[in-house]
Amino acid sequence: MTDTVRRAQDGDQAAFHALYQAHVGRVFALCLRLSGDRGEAEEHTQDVFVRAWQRLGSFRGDSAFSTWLHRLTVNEVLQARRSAGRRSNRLTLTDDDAILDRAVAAPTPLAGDLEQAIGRLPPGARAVFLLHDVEGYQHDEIARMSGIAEGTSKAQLHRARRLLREALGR
Amino acid sequence: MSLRLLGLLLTVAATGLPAQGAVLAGRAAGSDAAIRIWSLTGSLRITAWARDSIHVQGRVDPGAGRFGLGGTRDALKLSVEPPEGREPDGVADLDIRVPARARLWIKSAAADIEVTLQGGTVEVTSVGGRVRLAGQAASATVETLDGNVELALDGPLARVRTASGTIVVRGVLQELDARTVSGPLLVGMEGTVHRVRLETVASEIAFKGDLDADGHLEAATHGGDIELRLPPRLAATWQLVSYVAAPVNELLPAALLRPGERKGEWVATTGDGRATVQVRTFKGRVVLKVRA
Amino acid sequence: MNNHTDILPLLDDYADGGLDPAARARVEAHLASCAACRAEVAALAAILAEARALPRTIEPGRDLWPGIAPRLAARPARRLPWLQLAAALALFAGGFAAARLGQKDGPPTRLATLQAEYTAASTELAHRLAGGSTGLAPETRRVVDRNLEIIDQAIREAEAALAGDPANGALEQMLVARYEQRLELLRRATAAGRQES
Repeated sequence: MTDTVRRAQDGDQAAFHALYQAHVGRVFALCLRLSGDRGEAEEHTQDVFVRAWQRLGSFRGDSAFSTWLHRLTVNEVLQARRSAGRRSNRLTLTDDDAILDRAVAAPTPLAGDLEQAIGRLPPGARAVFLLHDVEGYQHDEIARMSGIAEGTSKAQLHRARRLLREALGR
Repeated sequence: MSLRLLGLLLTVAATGLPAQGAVLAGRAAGSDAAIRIWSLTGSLRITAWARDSIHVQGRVDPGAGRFGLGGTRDALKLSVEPPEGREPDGVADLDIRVPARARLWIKSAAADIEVTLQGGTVEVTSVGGRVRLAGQAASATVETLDGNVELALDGPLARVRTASGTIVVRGVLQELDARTVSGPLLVGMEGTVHRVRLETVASEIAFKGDLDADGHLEAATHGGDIELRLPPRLAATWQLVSYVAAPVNELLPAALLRPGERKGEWVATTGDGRATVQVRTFKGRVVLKVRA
Repeated sequence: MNNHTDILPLLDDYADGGLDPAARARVEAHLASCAACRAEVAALAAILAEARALPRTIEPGRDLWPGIAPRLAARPARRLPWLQLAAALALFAGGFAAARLGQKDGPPTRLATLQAEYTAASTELAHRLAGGSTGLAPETRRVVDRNLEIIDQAIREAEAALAGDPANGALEQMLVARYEQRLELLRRATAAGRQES
C-alpha cells in the first residue's frame, strides 16, 4: 500500500486529493463509456470518489488501489443505473433551438468510430462489451456485478459485437 | 423503492402477465372544476378537453393502491391511495381528461407527469418524477426535488422549483420564476416577458428572449455561466457581476459597458434604461449575445 | 455437421480463446474451408484488438473536485448528517455574525440579522429531517444531501470573498440568495418527506 493511500486512510484530505488527481482520468473514462453521457459521467465520477473516501477504511491493500477503485467505479455506475431507472429518464428536448440544445447536449469528448459505435449500443449490451472486451472482466464477474445471469452476459456480448460490426461496416 | 418497482416491472414483463387493475371511470364536472389528483408512482398524463366531464383510463397495480374518483361536480378528487402505512409496491399509469378550464392540484412522489392545458391552472408538487406542462395555462406551478421540469406554455405566469433537475422553459409568458440548485436553466421565450427570475447554484443559465419596455430580468448562479440572447435595441439598465472575468459582450455597444463601483461589477445604460437586467455569477462568465 | 449454423455460435468464444480443444479443432477445421467464417473471425479479432487499445484515461472537461471536496466528511462517517449540517451551519453563521459585529462594533448588520433568522429556521428543519419522522426515501435524502452540500460550498466561497471585500453589496446579495435557497430546499425536503411516506 502506498504512503498516499495510507495517509488518505488516516483522514488526510490532501492525500486523497492527490489520489483523485492520479486516478480521475481512469474513473471518468469508465463512467463516460458506461453511461454514454457526459453529465451523468461527471456525477458518477464525483459519487465514486465520495464513496471511495467513505470506504477507504475497507481497502486492505490486497490489490492495487487502482484495481480497487476500478471495481468500485463499475459497481457504483451499474448500481446507480439499476436502482434509479428514473434518472436515466433525462429530459429529451423536442425543440431544435440552438441555445437550449447547446447546454443540454454538451459535446461528448469521445472520439473515434469505435467509441461512437460503442456509445450507440443499447445500455445492457454496451455495459457487457465494455466490461468484457475493453476492461477484461470475465462473464461470471460481470454477471455478479450487474445482477444478470451469466448466459445473459454472453448473449449481450454476442449482440454487442454483432451490432458493432454492423455499425462499423465490417 | 425504484429497485422494487423495477423488479416488479421485470417480473411482469418476463411472465407476460395480462395487464392488471384496469381502470375506466368517468364523471360530470364543471368547466372550471377544482380537481385534486393524488398518485405516487407510475405516470399521469392529463389532457384538457372541450367537455364538462372527467374521464380516466389506465392501469393500477394492486400494490400501488386503490383507485378512487369522487367529490362533487365542482370539486373532485382522483386518487390512488396506497395501503395504510405502506409504501406503494407497484405503479399506476393513468390517462386523464379534464374540462378545459379545470383547476388542477397534482401531488405525486415519483410519477412522470405530463399535463396539456387549455386555459386552466395547474399546481404540481412531486419529489422525483419528470414533469412536463404544455398548452395555455392561466397559471402554472411546479415544485419537485429531483425531477427535470419542462414547460412549453402560453400564459401569464409560471413558477418552477427543483433541486437536482434541469429546467427548460419555452413559450410565451409574462412572468417566470424558476429556480434549481444543481441543474441548468434553459429558457427560450417568444414575445416579450415582463418579469423573469432565474436562479441556480451549481450550473448554467441560458436565456433567449425579449423584455417589456419596463420589464425586469434577473439571473443568478454561483458556479456556472450566464448567457443572455437579447434584441440589440433593448433599452435597459444593466448590472452584470462576475468575479472571474469581464463580460463577453457581443450585444451592447462596447463604449457603453463600463466597470461598476464594486469589484466584478459591470454596468451600462441603453436607450431610456427603463427595463432592468441584473445578472450575477460568482464563478462563471456573463455572455451577452444578439438574439438571432 | 461442421456447417455454418453449428459454428457461428462458437465464433465468439473462439475469438476469446474460451473453447475446449475439441471444439476449437472443430472450428478450425471449418475455418479452413469457409471463407465467410474466416472473414467473420478476422473482423471480430480486429474489433477486439481495437477495443483493447482504447485509451484507458479520459480527462473530464472540467475540475470535478469542487463537487467532491465538500462531501468528504471527517472520518468516521457521519451518523447524523442532518444534525451535523445544522450544527455546522449554526457554528459558521454564529462565528460569521460575531466577526462582523466585532468589526463594526455596533448593532447587528442586516446580513447578520438575516443569517440568524435563516440559521434558526434551517436548524429546526434539519432537526425535523434528522428525526426521521419525515419519511423521506433514502434516495431522495441523498439528493437533498448532495444539493445542500453544493449550497454550503457556495456559501463558504461567497463568505470568503466577502471577508476580503466586506463592502461589496453584490457579494452580500449572493450570500443572502444562497441562504434563501438552503432554507427553501430544507422546507421542500420536509414537505417531500410527507409526500413520500
